[in-house]
Amino acid sequence: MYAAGARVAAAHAEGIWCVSWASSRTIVTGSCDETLKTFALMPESKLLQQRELLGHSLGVVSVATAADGRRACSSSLDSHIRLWDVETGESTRVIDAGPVEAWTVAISPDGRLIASGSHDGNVNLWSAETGEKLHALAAGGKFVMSVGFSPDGARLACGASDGGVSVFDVPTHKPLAKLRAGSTNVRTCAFAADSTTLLTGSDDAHVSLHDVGAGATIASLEGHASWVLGVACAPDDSHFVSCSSDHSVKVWDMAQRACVQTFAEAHADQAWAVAFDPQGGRFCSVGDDKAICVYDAVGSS
Amino acid sequence: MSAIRIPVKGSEEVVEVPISEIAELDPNDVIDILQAEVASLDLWLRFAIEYYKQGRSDAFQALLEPLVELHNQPSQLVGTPNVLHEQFGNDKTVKQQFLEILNALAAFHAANGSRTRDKAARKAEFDQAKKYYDSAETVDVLSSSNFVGQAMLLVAQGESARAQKMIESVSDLSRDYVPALLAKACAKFNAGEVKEALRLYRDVFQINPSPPPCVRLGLAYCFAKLGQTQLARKALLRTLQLQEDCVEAMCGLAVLHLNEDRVDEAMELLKRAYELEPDNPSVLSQLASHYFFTQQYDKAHKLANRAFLNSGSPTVRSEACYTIGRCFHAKSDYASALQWYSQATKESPGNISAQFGLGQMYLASDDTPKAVECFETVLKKDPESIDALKALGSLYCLMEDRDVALQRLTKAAEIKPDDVDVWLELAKVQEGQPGALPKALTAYETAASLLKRSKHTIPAELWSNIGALRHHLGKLESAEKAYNYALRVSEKAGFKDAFEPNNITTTFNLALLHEQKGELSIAESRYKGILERHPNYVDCFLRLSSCAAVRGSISEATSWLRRGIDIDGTNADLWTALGNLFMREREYHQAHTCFDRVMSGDSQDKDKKRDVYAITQLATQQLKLSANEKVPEKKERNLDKAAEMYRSVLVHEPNNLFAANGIGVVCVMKGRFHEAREIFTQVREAGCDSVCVMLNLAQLHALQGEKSVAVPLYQKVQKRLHSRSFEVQLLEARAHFEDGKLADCRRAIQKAIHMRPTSMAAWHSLALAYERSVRPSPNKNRSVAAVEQATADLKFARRLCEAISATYSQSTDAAPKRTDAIAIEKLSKARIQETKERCEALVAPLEKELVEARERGEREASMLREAEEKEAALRKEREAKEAEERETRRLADETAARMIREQKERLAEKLGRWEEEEKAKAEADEAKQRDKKRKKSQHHDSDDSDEEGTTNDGAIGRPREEEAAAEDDLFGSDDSDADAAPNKGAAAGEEDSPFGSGVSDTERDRAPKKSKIISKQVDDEDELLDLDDTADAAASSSAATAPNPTKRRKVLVDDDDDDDDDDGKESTVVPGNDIGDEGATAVLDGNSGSQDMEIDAPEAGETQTMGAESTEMDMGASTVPTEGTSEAAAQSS
Repeated sequence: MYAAGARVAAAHAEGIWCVSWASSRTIVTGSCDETLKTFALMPESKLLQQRELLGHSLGVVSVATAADGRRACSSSLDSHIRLWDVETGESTRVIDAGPVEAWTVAISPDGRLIASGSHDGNVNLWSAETGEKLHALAAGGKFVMSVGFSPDGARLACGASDGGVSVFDVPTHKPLAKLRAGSTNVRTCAFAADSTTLLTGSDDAHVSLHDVGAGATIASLEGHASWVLGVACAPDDSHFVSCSSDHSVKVWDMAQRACVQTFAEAHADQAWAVAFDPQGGRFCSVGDDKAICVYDAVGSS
Repeated sequence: MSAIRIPVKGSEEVVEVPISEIAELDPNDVIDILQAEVASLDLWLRFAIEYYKQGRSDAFQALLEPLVELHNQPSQLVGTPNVLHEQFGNDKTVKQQFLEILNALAAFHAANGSRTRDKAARKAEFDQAKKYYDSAETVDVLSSSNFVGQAMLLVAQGESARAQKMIESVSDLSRDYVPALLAKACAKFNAGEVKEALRLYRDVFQINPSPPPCVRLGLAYCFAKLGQTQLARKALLRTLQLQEDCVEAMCGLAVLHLNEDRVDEAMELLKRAYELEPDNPSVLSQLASHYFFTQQYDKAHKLANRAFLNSGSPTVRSEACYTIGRCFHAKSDYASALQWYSQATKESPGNISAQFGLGQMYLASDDTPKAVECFETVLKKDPESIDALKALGSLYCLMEDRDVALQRLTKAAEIKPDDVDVWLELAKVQEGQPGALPKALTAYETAASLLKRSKHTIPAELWSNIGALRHHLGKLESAEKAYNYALRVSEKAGFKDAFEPNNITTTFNLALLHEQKGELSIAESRYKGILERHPNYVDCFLRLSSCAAVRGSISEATSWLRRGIDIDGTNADLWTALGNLFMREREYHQAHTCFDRVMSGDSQDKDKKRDVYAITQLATQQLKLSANEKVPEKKERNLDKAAEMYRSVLVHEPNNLFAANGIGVVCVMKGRFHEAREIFTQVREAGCDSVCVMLNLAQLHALQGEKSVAVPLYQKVQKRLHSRSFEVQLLEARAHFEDGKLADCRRAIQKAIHMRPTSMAAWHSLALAYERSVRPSPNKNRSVAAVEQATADLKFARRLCEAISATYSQSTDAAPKRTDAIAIEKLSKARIQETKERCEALVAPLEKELVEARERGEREASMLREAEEKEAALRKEREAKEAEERETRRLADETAARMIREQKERLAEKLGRWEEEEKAKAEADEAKQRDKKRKKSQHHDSDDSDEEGTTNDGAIGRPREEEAAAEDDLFGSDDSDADAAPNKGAAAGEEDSPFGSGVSDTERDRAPKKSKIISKQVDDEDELLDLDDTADAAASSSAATAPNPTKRRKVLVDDDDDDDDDDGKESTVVPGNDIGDEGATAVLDGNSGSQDMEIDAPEAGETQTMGAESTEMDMGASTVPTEGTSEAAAQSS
């Protein structure tokens, strides 16, 4: 079980659209106000703003961090992908993906590859080192709403606007599995720590669990009253969390495949994203109400 | 006194008649004796009274009546008025004694009368009494006893008021007349002035400490009435001590016992009283009510009936009627009960219990208004009657007069806050009142906690109701708990299965809860479970269909409804839902058929409300058709049809806000904005702050250019929607756009895109927003950076257009015709092309602007440079000048110093010279002196030794020497300071004039020095002036380095304004409201342009549907829980 912990009420000037937990002390957020910000989690459960990452000229749609917690990449409505040094707050590289061509991004755990979902249904792979476009993986022709690398870096999953979910083998660029998660926008997808279980959330209010190895959907969980906007799995794979445009944040048990806790009015507006501390023990959520909420594990979770 | 003594006429002897034997005596014998002995009248009366006391009223009458006869016979003798006086004498005593006899007779008849139940006999007795009183009055008009008797008669006849008046006049005559006091007390008591009565009884005790027992009785009644039970009991016991067979005292004591639940003692007393006086109505009445409580209704009925027949007192009669009524009531013979209660209230309108019973009976016979009347009467008499308040609460609720109901129940709750029923009633009333649901919930919860506190099980219905209310209020978690409690309670009661009939409502509500929480599969399985057991539970079909629709599976949704219709083909709800589904799918004609079915439906439970809803939906459908219609005439026809239908709805239901809203939309589409706004505003004021009305109002404001009103409304709508709406977001963006607030606009568009990145229309709007914001504006010249930014933005916009048109063509190739998002959003290739072209068109002007801006920038830069150079030159000049000045000053200083030095030297020289001169002079003087002395000494050489102390000459001579010495000294010291002095002078000169003047004073003759100093001062002034100059220069130079950039640029701008202006004009020609075209709304554009019309009209429909759908949802949601509660309520009641 979790208890609401640190909270920053007006972390950005506009709604916050994405969040990534870089290292166990640093959270990176991206907002409609065209900026990214880093926050440090201080003792006594306090969040302190560290840096403001400036460069995007439109709202920041997604942010992802590599395993080293230092490299981050973000995508924005301005169609640019930017690479950042989280510690210095400097923009290290800018990739112009072209309008409507980079909706959400993911960065490989080693920080060398960037994947972005595009409007034409492709997942583009970019080199983080050179900014070059390496490959385009065809995922089914529908707007790719979400992308995610597996923690081992070997797999890449993406969710499309028609409910389709595709998984690729990163080294070979071969498609591994084609799955379905309803028939509407799959706005979020995230691998579990085992790199085999995939979580997706879609506009039909369902959170789905997929077994990528078996190429099968294990469960489709109900509980949210509206679009599921974010999912994230705990590092120990025992549970996962989700957030929704119904303003709520839910904690789900992996084994029971059931919701075990609900923060019904976690946010005063749509809750856009959730992220786990890579060390476990806490997670955070962000939303259109401009707030960052941290949840700390209490008792045995 | 144990005997009456009759004096024997003419002797001292007396005849003693023991009182105890009187009863055995023949009255005729007594009369004989009395007549023989010519006994006085008071003896006659005493015998009569003793007879009466011993129960021989016949003898009483036999003794006294002949005397009255005698009085009525006119006398033959002169001087005596009648035979009586002839026999007994004509003095005052006789008259008085006769009066008493008359009074006694009257009282006898009055008492008889009040004891008689037969009306005729009673009247006869009273008349008789009255006759005696009247004749008594003719004997002596002012006799108190007469008046008192008459008053008592009036009391017995129930005319308290008149009796009281009568007695007042008596007591005016004689204040201490006990009978008068008693009568008055009695009258007061009967008139309800108990305290006054009590006071009078006490007065009686003061006058006569041992009055007849009945006085204590009166006292007891007063105490009882005043609630002083102990005193009352004491008085009654004392009465019984004094008079063992006092039935009234027994009865009173019995009542007191009964009130304390000492039934046995009471019954003993009552039985004794009954034996003593079987017809005493009070006793009968008490017995009757006892038997009623022991449920021996027949016995009770009989006794009460006898009491009723035997009593003349309205109170007792009313009480008896009430008991009879209660017996019938208990036997469920409500009609008879009603009659008897009614009789009881007629006998004594103050009988609250009867009044209440009557109310209950009216309630049972469904005569609500009369019942209300009864209960209100009760309440008037007893404003704190909980039962009446409760009954009225539920009655007013029944009559839909919820405010009054609430008032009554709230009062009840105030009086008795731990009455569960009151809280339940309160909850029921508040449940039906708009906005009072939270209060209703609190009431239910209070009731539940009261039950819990008193260790009662909370009934399942109550839990179910609490659940439903929490559910309604959105407290889903606690609602679920309550529902589960309800099921558990009912399981304990033996209804194990959640699908048992009396659990079905709870189960259904629980399913609904799960549905709302998004747990569709749980909800669906419950719905299906219900349907298995109760295939007629049509609501389940509705819900299942709705679940399917939420999942996006329209065909499944339809099939659930069809299955429902198979079971109940006339169910208006099912048809309505089906119609709505078709509406949603834009299959208007099929929707039409469905709504037609609703209206033509021949189902028994034909509900006007559903008809109205169907018509509203049909009208909406017409609206949509009109929006899709291209031919203007047909469009107009559709609009008229819609308006007509809405109007017909309003005829039925003048308060139908949706119809009103619909008419508003029609008005907008016909361009009658003013009316539309009035309608929307009214609808909003009417309390329907529904999203669709708000949205329409926002649209209207936006359309009329009042963006500052529209934008907050859009945002309010957004907040009210549970999850934000893409369309509203775009609408807000458009309002910003038209308002020229491009930054806000862009932000709003970004949010919209973020919500639906697949919408090319949204992206297109972004391109449009950019296109607008990069346009060169005629009266503002942008900086190079701004223009560069604009150029970059434009580039982005152009690329965006490219991308959009690429995806657009791509998706139109594969797009299915209807459901495709792009088709709905009305984005056309042409529009994209147009935007693209507009963007392209901007490229050149922007480039030009950039060039100009750069030029301007350069110009500015060069000017800046020039200014800087100028400033640098100036600075240099100044520095040079300063250096020069410094030099001159230095030189001046030097010269000054030199001159001073020179001067000093000169001075020193002069001084030296002067000193020398002086010295020379002194020497000369000395020499002269010496000469003189010498001459003198030559004169007195011999006196030289004596000279010192004695002669004037010597004295005169010495000071002179001293003087000289002093002068010497002066110069000597001057000498020592000689070096310093000039320095001082110079310093003074430099510093300031006082010293200078001092110097000049002391050395007035040294003109050169002075003039030099003055010139130095002038120099100083010059320098000051110079400094001022430089300060000015510095100021001006700083102005030059940091000029107000805008100011300067402005000036520059003015120069080449003309070129820009042309471009500006060109661009302003472009119509302003392009953004919203692909936005979702139509209401606005309805009349803005003919071309836009077709595009936007459907959007108007869109908003409308939203409204309609939300109504439907509301209806659905509200029917279920209310149904639950009403059912539960029915069960609980």
